[in-house]
Parts: sequence; C-alpha cells; structure tokens
Amino acid sequence: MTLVDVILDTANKGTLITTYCFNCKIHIWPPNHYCNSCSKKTGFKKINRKGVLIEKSFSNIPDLIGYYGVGEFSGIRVMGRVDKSILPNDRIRISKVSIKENKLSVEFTKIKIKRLK
Amino acid sequence: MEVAIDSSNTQKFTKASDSTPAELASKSIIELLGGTQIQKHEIDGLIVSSSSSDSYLGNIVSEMVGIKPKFSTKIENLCNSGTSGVMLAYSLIKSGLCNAVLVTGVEKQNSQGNKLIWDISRGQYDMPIHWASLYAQNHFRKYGTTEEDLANISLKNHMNANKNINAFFHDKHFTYSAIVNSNMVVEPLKKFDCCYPCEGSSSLLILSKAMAKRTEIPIWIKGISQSNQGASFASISNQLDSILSTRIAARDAFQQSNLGPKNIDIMEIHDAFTILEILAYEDIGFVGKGDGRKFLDNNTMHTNVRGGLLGCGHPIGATGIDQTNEIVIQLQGKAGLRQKKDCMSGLVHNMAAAGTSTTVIILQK
Repeated sequence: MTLVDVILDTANKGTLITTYCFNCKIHIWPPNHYCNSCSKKTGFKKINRKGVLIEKSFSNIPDLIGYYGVGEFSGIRVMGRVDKSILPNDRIRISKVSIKENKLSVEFTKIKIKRLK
Repeated sequence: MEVAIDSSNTQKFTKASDSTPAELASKSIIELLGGTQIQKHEIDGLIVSSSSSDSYLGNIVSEMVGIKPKFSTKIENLCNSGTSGVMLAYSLIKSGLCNAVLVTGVEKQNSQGNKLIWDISRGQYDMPIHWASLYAQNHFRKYGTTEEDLANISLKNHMNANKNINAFFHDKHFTYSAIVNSNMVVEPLKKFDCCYPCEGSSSLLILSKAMAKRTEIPIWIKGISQSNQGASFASISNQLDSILSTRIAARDAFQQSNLGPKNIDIMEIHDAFTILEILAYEDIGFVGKGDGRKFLDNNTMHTNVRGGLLGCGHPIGATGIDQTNEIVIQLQGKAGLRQKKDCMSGLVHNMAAAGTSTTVIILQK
C-alpha cells in the first residue's frame, strides 16, 4: 500500500490521518516516509479534529451542490463540506470523514463556544 | 550571454481534433521555421511543453520536423509548463550549452493536467474552480471586490480575443450583460469568469546573442524567474488574499532586469479565472493589496491583449508559450489588428495549481 492508500483506507473507517514527524512534532503533507524539515523517518498520526475555517463558498457543480470550505487542522489544510451558518475564522471540527468515489470526503461543523455565566 | 526570442508561431486554439500532440507541435514548428533566418541544422535544442502522457515527445517531434538537436526533452509543470520551457531554454543558452532552442507547447483538450488528482487534500473538490472561488470569496470579503469587477475583466479579455484569429472565442461576441448574468458555477465565479480547456500549439525560437544578431527584431529576455511553493493546496500558508509564488517571481524578475512595474507597457496575465488577474495586478506590484479591481480604471496599461486564457482558451502546455509569443510580436510590431503602439517592455505572468508555482518573464525590444 502507498501512503495515500493508507490515508484513504483509514478515512474510509472515519479517521483522518497523515504522516507525522515525532522529532519536529509536525504533521507532514504531502505524506512521506521522511520529514520535509529534519529528514528523519515519519509515522502516522491522527490529524487534530479541531481547526479553523479559512474560507468558504457554494458550489453548483452537480453532485457537489452545497457549501464547502477550506479548514486548517494541525497545520494541514483540507477541503470539505460545511454548514451555511459557519463563517470564515470560525472554530470548526471535522465531524465526518469518509470516502466517496475514491476521494476523501470530509464534513466540518462549528464548535460552539460555551460562555461562562 | 544575452538571450533573445526571434520568432514565434501559434496555431488556432480549437476543440479536440484527430491530431496527436506530436502532429500539433510539429505543425507550429514548421510554420515558425518558415519565417526565420535560422536554419534547421543550427537548432541545437528542442523542448516540448505538455501535460500529455505521451512519452519521448521531444525526440518524436525532433524527428518529425527533421532536426537533430544536442538536447531534447518534454517539460511538464501543469499550467506553468510553457513558461518553464522558456526558462529551461534560457538556461541552456545562458550556460553556453545551446545556441538556438525551439520551445513548443502543445495540449489536447482532454489533457490529464485539467485536474490535480494527486492532491487528495482537496477531496471531492478537485476541480480548479473550487480553489479559485475561495480566493474570490476572500477578496470580496476583505477588499470589497464585486461580481461586476470580475465581469469587467472577462469582458475586456473576451473583446480582445475578437481581434485574435487564433483565440478559441475569436468569433464569439459577448456583452457585459451576458457575462455578468451568466450561470453561477461556484460562488462568486460564473461561467464567463472561467477559462475553457481546449486544444492548441504554440512555438518560440530562443537564441544566443550571436545568432540573434542575424535576425530582424530580436526581443531580449531581460528578466526571468520562477517560484515554487509546493504542489498541494494543503501546504499553501497564505490567507488566500495573495499568491506568494507570484510575488517572489515578480520581485526577482524585476531585480534581474533592473526594471520595475512602471517600466512595463504591456503584459500577459494568467487569467484562468477572472479573480487571478486582479490578484496578479497586486502581487506583481502594479497596485497595493486590495486595489486590484481599481487597476484598469486608473491607467492605460495593455493587459491580455491576445484575449488572455479567458478569451483564447487554455491548452495547458501551450498557454505560457502563446502568452510569451504575444509580448514578442507586440514588441516586434507584428501583432496586426491588435497591435499596441510604442511598447518597449512587456511582462509575462504564468502560474499553476492554486498559485503553487509562478513564472514571470520580462521582455524588451
């Protein structure tokens, strides 16, 4: 299996991972056996589900109709479906990871901030 | 060693034909060779720029046009392929390895370069319009750019294409109303904010100073620079209001040429989507960040006179060559119906895949 195959296989089980450098403590994208900073060997690690929405738009392309956006998680940017109410700079969570037509399919939801009374 | 462009040729951009990439490339080269003082046996380099999956294309085309160069290869850098070919040719001549290099860009309409399948972080949103729309939304939100600003770019470039017989949309006359009211594809980009992938070929002959002296009007490459920031949207670290690779390539090309934005009379900008032309005005340094939409209102700079990618269509490997071709013939005074007066210096801007790479070339008469 290639590294991308491993990522897609894991995504099919609902978890988003990529390679991680345990020396630099950073996720590595695109996935590679070696860190692009220190060149040490990498392993796999889950991408943090909490991140920030950078920007969003609405697609009218058939099969993709709806809001989508790009979010940043653990320094990695991923594109996925979003809810209309989510705005750029909102804190978001990766709520669903799957595979559709052999492609990564991700959904983001807004993290509700609890205010102290 | 100074490097010049002597002659150029572009074939009409079309829908898919039965011709192979090699046949398309060789037709453009043979027409170019018919109009230059340089003889076939003097050509010692051939670069074919293409996202085609055809192997050994450089040597196949060399054989088809009857040349036996010292150096031959295919170059692929997605939409930035053509200008990467120009940069490689420049380097071969600058180093003294070659004296006369043909650079030919060619693409079929169904090119594998139309999608960046490798970048799985884009998930289902792997069509280029999905990243371009995010740039547009960002610019609208931060700087007040509007759908009307984008429509004005599209109208200008489509009208320019009406004077370019090689442009895909040469015969199509669109009104502002038709453009601004066209179907929304991905907000805020509509049908006419997007270029059309098509088939085409375009060629340039790049020469050493000694050989350029034998030509009629050599156009000198005064600056050429490329910046590569990665390949995936996932690694782009800016806030989507700027193309970093363009800023770096433009800065370095201006520095190399000892020229600045004020010295440029005419330019070809990569406008695969209208928003990219606005971003390029800002990132090359013609206006400040956020003022791209005002650029055309406040000056008389000639931009995308051939019609840009919006008006000409976008045969991926040929686009950067045809952009360069346009500046060459404008500076040579050979642009026919669309000739602009008194142009001394021109700029070519070409980029690929969400702005992960950009090339900027500065040319002078």
